[in-house]
Amino acid sequence: MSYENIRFPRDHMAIYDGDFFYFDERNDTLNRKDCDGATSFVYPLDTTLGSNKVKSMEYDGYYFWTMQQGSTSLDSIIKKWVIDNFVCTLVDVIDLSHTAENKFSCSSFALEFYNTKLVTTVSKHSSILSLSTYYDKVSPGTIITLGPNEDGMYEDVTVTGTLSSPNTFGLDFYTFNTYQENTNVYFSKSLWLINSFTYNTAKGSLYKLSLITKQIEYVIEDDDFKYVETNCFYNAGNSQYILYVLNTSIRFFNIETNTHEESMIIDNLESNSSTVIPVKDIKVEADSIYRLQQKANYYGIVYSWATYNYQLSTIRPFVDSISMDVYPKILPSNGINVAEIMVVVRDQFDNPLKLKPVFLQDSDDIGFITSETVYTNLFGTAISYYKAGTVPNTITLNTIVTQYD
Amino acid sequence: MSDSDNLNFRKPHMTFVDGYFYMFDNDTDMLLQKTDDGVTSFSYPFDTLMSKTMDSIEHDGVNFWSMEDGSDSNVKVIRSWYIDNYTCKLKTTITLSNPAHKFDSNAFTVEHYHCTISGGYTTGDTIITVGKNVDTLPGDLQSGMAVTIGPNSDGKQETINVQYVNDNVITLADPLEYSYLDEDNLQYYNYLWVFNNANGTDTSTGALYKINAYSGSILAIYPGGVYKDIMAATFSEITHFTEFGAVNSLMYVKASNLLFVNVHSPTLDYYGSMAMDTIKSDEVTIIPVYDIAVYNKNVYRLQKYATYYGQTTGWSNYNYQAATFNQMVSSIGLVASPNIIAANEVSVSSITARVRDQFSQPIVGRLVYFSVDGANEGSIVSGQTIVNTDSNGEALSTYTAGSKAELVKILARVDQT
Repeated sequence: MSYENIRFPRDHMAIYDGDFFYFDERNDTLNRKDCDGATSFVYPLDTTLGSNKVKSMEYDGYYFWTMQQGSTSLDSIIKKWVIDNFVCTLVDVIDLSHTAENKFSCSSFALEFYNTKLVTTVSKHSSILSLSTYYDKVSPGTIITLGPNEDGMYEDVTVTGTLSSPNTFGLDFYTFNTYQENTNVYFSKSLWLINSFTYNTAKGSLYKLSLITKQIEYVIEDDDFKYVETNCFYNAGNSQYILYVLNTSIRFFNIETNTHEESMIIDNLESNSSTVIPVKDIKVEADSIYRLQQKANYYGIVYSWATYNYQLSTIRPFVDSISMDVYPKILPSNGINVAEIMVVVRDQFDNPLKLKPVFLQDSDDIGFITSETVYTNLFGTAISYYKAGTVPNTITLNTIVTQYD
Repeated sequence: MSDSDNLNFRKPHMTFVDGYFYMFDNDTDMLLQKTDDGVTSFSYPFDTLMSKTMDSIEHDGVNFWSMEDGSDSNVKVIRSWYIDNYTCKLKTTITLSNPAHKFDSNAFTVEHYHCTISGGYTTGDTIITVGKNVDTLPGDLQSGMAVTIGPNSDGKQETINVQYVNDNVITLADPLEYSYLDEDNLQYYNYLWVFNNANGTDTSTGALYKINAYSGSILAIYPGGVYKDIMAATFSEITHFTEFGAVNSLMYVKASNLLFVNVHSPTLDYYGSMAMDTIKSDEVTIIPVYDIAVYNKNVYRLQKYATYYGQTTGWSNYNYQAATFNQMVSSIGLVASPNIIAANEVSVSSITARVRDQFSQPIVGRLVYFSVDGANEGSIVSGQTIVNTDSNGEALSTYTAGSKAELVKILARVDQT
């Protein structure tokens, strides 16, 4: 079986509803591919990208965002695009040229964005709207995109402040169109840049940049970021994270608490178990993480390609490891003695998995396992017992675990 | 496939008229007429010698038009030609030369319209009504422009200047020389659209220039990078998009798409885009399209390379590749949710196939055949192997896991009908 899928010639991607996108600076196009790598559509750009490749891209549901190197390796440029009548049109540019205070040698960026709905209909020429969720993320100056309405129209509005209730906002102008209740709403709040500089010092950092002021809000210094090639935004509903790949883990950085809450193991080790396969981009779609790689390890064999292809990880807890222990490990072969078998099941976050069926088997003709199917408890542990046979022997115990959720 | 060449044009331009392909041959000073297998069916000597290869040619229903380099790199020359007594004669010359503009273009087209007259007219008449049950002409027609009427039942046609236009009633500057019957043809052109690799003198972007086809004066400039590096453009009435009706469209090739512009919208709105198979087998390199022509629902693209079923073929000359406005299955996108499931013969994943045409629009009511790659153990749920696409072009199915941990390949096939 061929393990290539999207066959991207560039090392960045965006995913939306099963479509895969990349920017190609050679043709000045935004390309859309199917999951098998077939180019399904191409959007010409209205503005040339220049010779610098796009390093990283994001999609907020309406706008595409790209990051390229600026005029020097210490500069970065963020561009905002929209598909407007089949042409990808440049909307905005954020120029991150280096200054005496800051250098922007950025490898990747994440866009903190929110998708929600209108609570009530916004009539044409209205200057008020109410959001169903994530209204606490809106500030004066936030640009909100509404649409599509029944006529397929979109428009951007700018929030001036909160009105009668926390989810109701005033706008700085009147809407041009009517938008029915439950119309989609998109807005972006911040950019999170992976920078190999902290201010002007060559130390890794994570920069938070406000999209309202386009100013740096704060900088989190951590030299680990020097080794990070990709990050993305993940909205888990109640909490929001910046995900980034560090070696063989995806780390979950909570952007409210500015703490690392989770770390998830990923299968990006080569078959020698020491060489890390670089992950060039990651994106979250539904509960899956798509990793863009030029190599992948499938069941112990490493495949490499000339193009970039996605590999999957899942965010929902999934059986990742099973460990088994037996006490005591040596029993007399008297048909009476019993050993306790303890199986611990963990997920990719190294958290215990509860209520997972564990199936146990032994290799002895006479000895037997008292309960061949047991379920893990709250600590991810399942207990069963082996009753000794009558012939001195080395017994092999096998365990299989699965999940139905 | 070695016999995939057809026209074998030696020059990078073409136009298509009534089943024949035309090329301006500056080597022999002939207008060559070829059939679609490359056989030269006729040739018309030019009455004016050419010294340069044409960048692009067009046909407005009456006249041929050509564009070539001018006296220096900032100048372009657009000429119109007509066939008279087996000779291709120069009709007009427009020189695009202006110190405020760098004219660097490889593509242009002529906005033109084809109508019929309402009622019969006889020699000497000067007022003609156009069309039945219409209030206005399909495109601008102003005093100083010209209409071509005919051919009549004797094969005669004439071109007369326009004195005045009121809605769909045209007052001619000169009386008719021949008589015409109800629904005889009336044709006219009005504007040239030039895709320029500079906006004024700014070469960092492109611009689309709207030019009076009679005087050569610049009427409007639409700047935009999307108009830069264009090599193929044409103009035609497009009726394919049923939601828009008949649209007089400027069409041009950008990257691997054919873009449709409504020239009657003030901001030159795009109302469609058609994906074309102009990508080499490396899946990256875009095959240049040197010229295009549209006839009914066919699009003819002039290329030096073409990809046939994953293999790219190149030729020393230029050949046409066909595309169609008829809705064709262009892509099938598959989404599995969740896309990682346990190999326990119980877990399931929802499979959505999204079927779209070359315009990126959903294809409705088409059977999708789901299957699992033979090497895999899992299966598509019984009764969901053949599913019709819904109004969004989506067909839903379900995959049930096998017992072996493995990468699963799910296939979806759609037949073109």
